[in-house]
Amino acid sequence: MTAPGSESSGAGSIHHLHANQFDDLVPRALANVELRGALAKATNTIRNRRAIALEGIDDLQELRSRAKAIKTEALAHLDEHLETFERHATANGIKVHWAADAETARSIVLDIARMNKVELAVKAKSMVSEEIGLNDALIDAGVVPVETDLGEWIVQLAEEPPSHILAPAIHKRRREIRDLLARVLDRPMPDDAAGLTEVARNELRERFAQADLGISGANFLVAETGSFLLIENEGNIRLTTSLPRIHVAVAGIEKIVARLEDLGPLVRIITRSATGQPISCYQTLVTGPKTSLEDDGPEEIHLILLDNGRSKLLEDDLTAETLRCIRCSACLNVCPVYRQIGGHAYGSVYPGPIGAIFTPLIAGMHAASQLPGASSLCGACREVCPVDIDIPGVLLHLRHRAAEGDRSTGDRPMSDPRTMEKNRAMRRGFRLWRWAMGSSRRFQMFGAIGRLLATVVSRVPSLARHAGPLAGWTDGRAVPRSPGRSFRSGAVARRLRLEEQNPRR
Amino acid sequence: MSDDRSTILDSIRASLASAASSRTAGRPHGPPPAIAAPPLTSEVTVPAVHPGEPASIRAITEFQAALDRAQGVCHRVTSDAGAADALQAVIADLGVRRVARSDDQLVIEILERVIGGFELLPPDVDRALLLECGLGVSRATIGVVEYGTIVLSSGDAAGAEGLPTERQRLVSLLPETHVAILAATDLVDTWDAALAALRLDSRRLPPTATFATGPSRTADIELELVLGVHGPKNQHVILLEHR
Amino acid sequence: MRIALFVTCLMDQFRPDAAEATVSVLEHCGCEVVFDPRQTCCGQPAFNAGLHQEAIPVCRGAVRLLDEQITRGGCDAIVTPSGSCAAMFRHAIGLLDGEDAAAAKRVSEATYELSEFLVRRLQRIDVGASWPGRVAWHDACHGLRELGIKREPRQLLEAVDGLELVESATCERCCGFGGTFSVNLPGVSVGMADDKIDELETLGVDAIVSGDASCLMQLEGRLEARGSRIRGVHLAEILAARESVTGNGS
Repeated sequence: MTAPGSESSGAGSIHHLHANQFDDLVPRALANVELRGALAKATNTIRNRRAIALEGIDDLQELRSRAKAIKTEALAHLDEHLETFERHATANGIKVHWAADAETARSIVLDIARMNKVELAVKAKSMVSEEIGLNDALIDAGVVPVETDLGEWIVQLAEEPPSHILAPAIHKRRREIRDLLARVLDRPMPDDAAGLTEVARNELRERFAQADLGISGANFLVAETGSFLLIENEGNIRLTTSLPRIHVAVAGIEKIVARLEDLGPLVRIITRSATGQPISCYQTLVTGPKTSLEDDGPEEIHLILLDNGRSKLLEDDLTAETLRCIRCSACLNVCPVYRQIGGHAYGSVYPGPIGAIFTPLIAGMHAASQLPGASSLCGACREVCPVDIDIPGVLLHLRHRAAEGDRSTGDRPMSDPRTMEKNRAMRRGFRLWRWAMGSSRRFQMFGAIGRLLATVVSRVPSLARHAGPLAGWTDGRAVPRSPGRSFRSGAVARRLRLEEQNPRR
Repeated sequence: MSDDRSTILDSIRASLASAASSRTAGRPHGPPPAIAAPPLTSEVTVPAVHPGEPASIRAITEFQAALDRAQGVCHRVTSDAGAADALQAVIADLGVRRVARSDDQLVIEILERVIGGFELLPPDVDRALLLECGLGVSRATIGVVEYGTIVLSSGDAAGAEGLPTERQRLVSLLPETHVAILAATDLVDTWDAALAALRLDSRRLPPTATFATGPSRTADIELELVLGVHGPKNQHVILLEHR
Repeated sequence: MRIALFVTCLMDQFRPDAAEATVSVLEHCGCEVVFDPRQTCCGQPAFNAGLHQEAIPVCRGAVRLLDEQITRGGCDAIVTPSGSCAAMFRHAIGLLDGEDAAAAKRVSEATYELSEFLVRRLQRIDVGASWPGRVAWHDACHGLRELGIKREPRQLLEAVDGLELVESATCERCCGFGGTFSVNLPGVSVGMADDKIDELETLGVDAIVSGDASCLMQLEGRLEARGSRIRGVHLAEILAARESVTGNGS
């Protein structure tokens, strides 16, 4: 079913990826005062809620290590679990499909839609659906996709991608949403969040009732029972999976867990990490289509298992950690970089710290080589990660791969010439640095030059533009005060000097 | 598609094998090795309360408090007549004209005791009518003490043994208000226990089981909490302490 | 106790007073401090940029030198006034090969950040310092999240005569430095500093204190550009201070 000319096996692609424009997107985001206000408020609120929600758990570390163990164990035997899942789900009456890449996944959905003459599809928020660009494919095939998660519906109407994994419209202020709905629906809109939510409820009810196809993602797949779990607050997933005659769920292969009881710890930690609720409003466990005696529920359920570059991540224990992600978005909410620039600047459906590692890992370094640089390596992301993904470690690993031209993985060379030039310049700078750090004498000499430069630039700030790395520094910051001497040249250091016992190398 | 199946499985196996070999070889220049996963320890904790066993007063009060925290309402009653009164009061308070119901036996019995003042729709009602309906009454399969959660389990009611399952799932989803009838003997302590109980009684899981905690909600607009989005705006549970 | 001082490149060249203060605090606590002038940098800037070929020789140089001091130079511990450089020696274990990796392990186990050394190893909280003023502490990321240093500097600061320690809500938030990050994404980096400084201004502190010269360079650079009266001070400078406390210093 894979179309000729599609990505080679094992490589993934992310729809509408423009992560290579990161350097242009960042200043645009920084200049957007409205956006930065919304982000500061929103991230503060969610992180506080999360902190409060986790205070109530006595054995938080134990729960985290259990959640981590469940995912790690599942990934270590991913092939077996997927086969077990397929066997049981099929026995339950679920049609299981396999898609090595985005293109295959899209064509599976389109075939189902075509075969059933679907004109309207209701969609529950799904990152994987965004990843494979399902909406555009549906529209091209004459099917109208309607997002039903409130935030996702808002960004769909605004013709924007989501900017946050859980709160897709987090970058928008209320009055902006009000004006958007007034324009699209061509009538006056209420001012308050409750009123706007009511509008969405009424607008979308009709769509739910008309749609023949419901499309969702899946939070967890249970190998042992062939079931999958959907987690939500709004009830749109329940509607999407109950009203239309056909339900199609698209899930990354990494969503698998071995046993039914594995769901408990994961459910316990995901909502607390995500929104700070003790538990989400709804968790729906789907095991099969409706039985002949039931009045409601889908007659057909399809589940698409998507690889799209994921299996490749298992080659390395460190990159494999990325597949533990349960998409709680806690790392976005604590990330000081995300807080400044928001989700759109990452140019990928996966923003924030997890996006900075997942995007280049899935789509290839050539497509997103700047993203691993979008971090001060502060480690706040790892600290909150409910499954303890070493995000800073993976960032360092990817920076290394970017710097080495990604030769080790056989990927295409980084195609973005600007990134390559930037990396070359950085390497030149660090070669000089290496030479300078190679002897005490050179170190002292370069230190003296640095102090002199700082003195000069502090007196004549316009000179900073010509001072290499200092140019970026003086953009909003004063140069360090030069002390006029180094520690090692002082009397104290001389007194402490250890006589060199060995001859210099 | 079958090609994709083997492509994916082969790729996973090749990657896992390559990771295993570099683990034994040791990586010369890599970052510090990832910590090995701790072994999965014991089975999940056995629930303190099993469905079907009499519930303690502690369990009942804790369920009520938890549901209250989740912005739901728990009505504790000690007789079927009390349940009917509670239901009547909810319907009257909200001024509901049309009531939908599932075909669960207990739901039928309680509704028979309700005096009326509204139109009662049959369980196989048309969807369009259900969308207009103000309130739905159905049976909760299990109640979860720790969160005030109710489990709505779909399935073949006629064939179900032990736990009650429902043949209708829209009754609890489409109307603005959902009233769940929950027997105190169907309370369990934890979410995990409820999940285990779904399987204990019927070996196979029901086609769909929804764990619902309070009314549906969103915070997608400036993170302001709004109750009632696509699911019910009001969630009531009538807890039958005598059953 | 004989201590090998790893002074860090930045402090050596740009904060000699704080480096000397570190020596003074350690000597006040009865330590014999030795300084090997062959030392330069731990290699972290290049390592964090992903440039292992450039980082390895520099890191190896630091590791071999410090390993020599603890294995043959009679030093009991290595102290560095930077959590970030102390954390780098842990990464060195994976970065370096063979005998150098073993040396990196020995070095990282023997290395203490200053406050960690004083409180955990020497069990000293009161070092006889006096410093009049109202300060907030900035938890430098690597010290906090990689070394687990949280209580130690606060205990030390609270014991300083005349000093009032104020807790900042953003104390654990990154200052925005991040090595090459600060010049690659200057707007984001400055925004991160502003998040902290905005709060510090409302707290009305005289100084922001940290255990890392790099964070201080970032925060001071931004404070000065904003025309703030708040200054940046290294923990060592306060612990070595013997300024007279007038008025009702607690």
